[in-house]
Amino acid sequence: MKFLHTADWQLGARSAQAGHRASEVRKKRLEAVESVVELAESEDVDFVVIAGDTFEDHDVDDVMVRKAVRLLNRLGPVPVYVLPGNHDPLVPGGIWDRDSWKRVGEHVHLLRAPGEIQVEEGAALYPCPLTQKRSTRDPTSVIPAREEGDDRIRIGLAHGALGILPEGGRNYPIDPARAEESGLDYLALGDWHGKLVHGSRTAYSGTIEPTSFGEKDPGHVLLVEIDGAGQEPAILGKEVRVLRWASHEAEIRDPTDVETLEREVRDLGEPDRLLLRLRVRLAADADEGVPTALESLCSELEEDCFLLDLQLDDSAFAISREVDLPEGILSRTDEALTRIREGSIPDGPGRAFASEDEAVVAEAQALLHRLARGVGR
Amino acid sequence: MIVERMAVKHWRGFRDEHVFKFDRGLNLLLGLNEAGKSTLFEVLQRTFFDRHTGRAQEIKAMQPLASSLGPEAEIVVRTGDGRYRVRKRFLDSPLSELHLERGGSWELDHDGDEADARIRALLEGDVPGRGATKEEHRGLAQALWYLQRESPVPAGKWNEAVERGLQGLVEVVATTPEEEALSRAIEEVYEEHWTATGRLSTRSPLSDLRNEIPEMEEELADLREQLGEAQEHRETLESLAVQKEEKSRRLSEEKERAAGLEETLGQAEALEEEKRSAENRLSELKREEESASADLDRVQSLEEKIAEESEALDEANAHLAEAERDEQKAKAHADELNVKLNEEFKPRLREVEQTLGRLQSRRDLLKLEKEEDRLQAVVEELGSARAEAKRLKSRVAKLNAPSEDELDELREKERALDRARVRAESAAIRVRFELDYARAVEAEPEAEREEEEYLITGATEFRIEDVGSIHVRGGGQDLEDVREQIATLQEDLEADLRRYGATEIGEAVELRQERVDLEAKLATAQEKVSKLEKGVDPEEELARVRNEVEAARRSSQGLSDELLSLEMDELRSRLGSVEEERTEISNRVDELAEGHSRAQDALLQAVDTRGKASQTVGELDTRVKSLKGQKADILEQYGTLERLEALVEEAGKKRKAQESALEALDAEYREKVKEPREELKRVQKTIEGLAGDLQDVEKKITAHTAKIETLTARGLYSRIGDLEAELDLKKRRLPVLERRVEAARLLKQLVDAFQKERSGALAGPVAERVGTWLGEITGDTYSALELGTGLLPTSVRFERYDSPLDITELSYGTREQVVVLLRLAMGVLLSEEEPRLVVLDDRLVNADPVRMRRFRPILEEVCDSCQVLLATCNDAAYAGMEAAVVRVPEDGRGGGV
Repeated sequence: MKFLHTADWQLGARSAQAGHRASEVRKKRLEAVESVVELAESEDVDFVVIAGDTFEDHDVDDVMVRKAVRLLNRLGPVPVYVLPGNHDPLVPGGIWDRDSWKRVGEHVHLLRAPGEIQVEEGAALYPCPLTQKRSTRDPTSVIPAREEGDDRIRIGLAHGALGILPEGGRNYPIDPARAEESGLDYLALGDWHGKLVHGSRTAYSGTIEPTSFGEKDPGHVLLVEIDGAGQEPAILGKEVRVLRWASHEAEIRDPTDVETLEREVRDLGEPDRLLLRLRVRLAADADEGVPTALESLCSELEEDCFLLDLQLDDSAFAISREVDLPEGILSRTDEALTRIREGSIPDGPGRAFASEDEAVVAEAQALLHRLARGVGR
Repeated sequence: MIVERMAVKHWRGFRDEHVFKFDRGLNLLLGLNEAGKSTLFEVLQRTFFDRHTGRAQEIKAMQPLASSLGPEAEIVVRTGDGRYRVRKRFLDSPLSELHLERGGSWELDHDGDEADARIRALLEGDVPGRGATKEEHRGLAQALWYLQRESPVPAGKWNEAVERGLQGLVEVVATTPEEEALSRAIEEVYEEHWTATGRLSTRSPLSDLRNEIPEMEEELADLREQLGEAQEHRETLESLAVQKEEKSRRLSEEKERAAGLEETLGQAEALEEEKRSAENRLSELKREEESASADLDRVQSLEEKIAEESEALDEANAHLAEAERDEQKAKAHADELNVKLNEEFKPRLREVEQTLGRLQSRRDLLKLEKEEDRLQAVVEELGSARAEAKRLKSRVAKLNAPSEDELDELREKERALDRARVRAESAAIRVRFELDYARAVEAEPEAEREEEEYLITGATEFRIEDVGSIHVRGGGQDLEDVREQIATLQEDLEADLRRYGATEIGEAVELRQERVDLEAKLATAQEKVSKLEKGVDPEEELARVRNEVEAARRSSQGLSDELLSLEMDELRSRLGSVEEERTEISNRVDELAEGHSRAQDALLQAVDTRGKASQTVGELDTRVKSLKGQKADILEQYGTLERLEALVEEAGKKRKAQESALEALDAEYREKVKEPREELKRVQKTIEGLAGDLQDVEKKITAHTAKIETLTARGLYSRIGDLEAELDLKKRRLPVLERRVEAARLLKQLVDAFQKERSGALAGPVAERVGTWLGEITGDTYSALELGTGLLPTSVRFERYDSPLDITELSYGTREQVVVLLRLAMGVLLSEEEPRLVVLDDRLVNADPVRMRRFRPILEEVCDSCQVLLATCNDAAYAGMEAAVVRVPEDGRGGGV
């Protein structure tokens, strides 16, 4: 028996970190769903389970529900078992009551109640649907233990935080030993956005498409094959994501650093599918030509990347550069700024500014130096 | 640079050429108001700083009224480099020339625009913009020339030429172009974000960001609120879902109950059939019992009726016999009365009535004869009354007497005559003779006398015996008129009286009275006639009575003599007794007739009673027979009454047995059919109610779901996502930008602080000098001028309170004096290398005499190093000072030193 385990599609997710590309990021999630559909077809799976959070929220735009339904209908006649998760729990007036959802094909089964479902000859599914957003109850506690003589393949389907996770135990905690205790051959889980296999029978497929910076190993589905009751399942992760979200930090001192940075960024994947959060600090003792090279790279990345969220801190560099300030009030201003930045109280008129914010003082001095060098404001 | 000579023509009031010469020190430009002192300063400004080709409104205004000639000036100046002659003409054939004195003669150094530039450079002026040159472009003159209608000090700072000029004095404040450029760049960066007053500029991106973020947050909150409605609907739906579940559960339960009841009721049909059959049987038995009972009742009832009717028949027969006896008795009584009436009393009555008729005939004749006599008398009286009336009427007609109105008229005339006479009398002359000797006096005409006085109404002659005569003329015209009026009235009255045959009014009155009396008698006679004639005509009535008398006499011809001889009184007596007899007989007849009538009625009644009794007997007999027949009919089907009674008893027993059986069946029916059926009805009603409730809940669910659908169809969630993403970017950008903007501010403030320190150094000498002078002219009320950025005065020290006083709090005059001193101090400081021209256009008019006196030594001190042109209309204030007085002609003509 072969089936596809997926979860956390989070369709309609707002993607607040995606800046002006937020709307496009939402569309890309549907492309990832398309990949799931194609994979299910190509792998000729017996059925598909979605372990919760198909939708980001009950309020997502109706157009998103319609598109999701169209994609799910493409899977027919392969049965699809959809579990309501904590983002889309089974509540009156929720996403599952939308007219647009009602257009879903008969092969799509919304799992409204716990119990036992015959998914294949000799295989039973134990869904644990959620009916509210938050709870400290283990949703899998309703799965009955395997009865003696029961030689069917038993699959659990749930959404929550496995006890081994860093945030485990907070919302819908799940006993890490549930599969063993309830005699399940496989426990398909959703909620954790990274791909994760616990033991040999419990697994998170993770989200099909990353939702923010900092998620670990998102963008997969799991192909699960089980030969029979008690047999160890074969779990194979398949990448379906469209976009890659990456955060990168670097300190640049010389042209080599610029090249390294460029290489590392290129290694993150195709730039047109990359959302890059880049934090670059120009070292105080950076080579003279480095700012130009860095600027050039940043411009290139800005152009190539799906999204570049750049923070460039060049104040240390700007301050440390030698500048030819005219003698008189400006050189005295610079001296006063240095004194304040170093934590001293300057003499003369600068004394009144001794308590200014350090970052502002550094920025002011960087500005003075940039202006003195005749470079941008 | 100082000015030595100035020639001007075609310039406002100076239509012809006017030449003015100036000394090196103090020059007082003296002239009345409106004489043209300010025009001379205008000549200096335009000549030194304006393009000769300029056509600005201010330049056009220099042309004399109604003149098209170009305003023209020639000014000779001396500078450190030598003497120059500046010549300019504006508007018409404009011209600009700069001549340099070389070897005692003038050489054209430059002309046209180049000359303009060189001339401006003499006072370090800027290139002017379009139009007339503004103060800030006038180089050193901005500080040194203090003219009318111009600001005491510039708005921001003095121009660069002034600053440059003053900086030259202080070594430490020397600046470089690099510093200036960088300072400008810092300033520009600052101005990108901040206003001059230190507020965040609306142009700053930070300002935009700070505005945009709350706006976006507000929009976001609004969108979230809208989506919040969906959540509210969801919460409502949750409660509705609970209701729906509860109702559905109850509905299922009730439906199950209904199904159970329906199953129970499935066995009801057989029981119902059994019950129906038992009921039918009972009905049948009841009918049979009722039928026999009814027949028995009817027979018993018939027997009772037969007994009652038989008894009544017996009574009726007895009553019939009695009636027949009564009838015979009544008949005998009626016959007896009839004989007595017809044979005894009626003949007696006829006889008495005949006697009475004869007596009445005689009485009627007597009455008619008497009436005839009375009428005869009336006819005669009427004849004599008519004759009297006729006689009186004739007398009235013949009597000529005045009517009441005519008599009134005569009386009025007599009164008028009397009034005229009185007037004549009062107008008459009264003459009395008192003679010593008795002498007869005669008046001619005779005069009326009252006692011893003669009333003279006209010319009268009194003849006194053997004495002579006295002629009296009196009355006059009025008296004559009255006398004539009297005569006229007299004649008129007499004529009127004559118409009635009278001579005086008393007769007329008597005549009138006589007529009135006659008319009264006539009326009485006529009334009598009318009275007699009233009603029936007596004569006609007499004739009618006579006819009746004749008729009565004829009818009395058969009467006995005895009767005819009877007089009325006797007749009346006889008539009375006969009438009495007749009444008595008549009453008796009436009584008998009535008794007979009653006897007849009694007979008829007896006959009727006998008939009715006979009829009753017949009827009762028939009914008894009929009842007996009916009874026989009923008993025919039963045989005997006893058998019928036995049958009734048997039927009652059967009916009771059937009723007991039915009761048992009813109990079973109630338990198994009726009660379950009623219960089913109740359950069905509950089911209906629950179905309705469920429908309502479902409707509400549909409505709330539809609202959620509407909200989610608006794309709010995506819009929120987009806004959040945009807001996230802006919020992350905000601190970075804030740091940059704050950095720009910090840098500018630091540079300003150092700049201020340096300005202090620059302002020092100026402030020190002005402070000293201020103390001198104010008697040390004020001292120590404070100059701010741009060398502009900000405050003075107020010695009494030992505190600074803002310059704006000084009186207008003192503030003016501070400005004059400032300009003079700048003049002195700027004249260190070469003397400079200082111009004061009537700026000390507000100084009191004491201050003016204290001002003079300061002015003298200034004039040691500067040339001062001071316009005034009062040179007394400067008396005793060494000064050249340049008179400005009142009419714009002439002039000279």
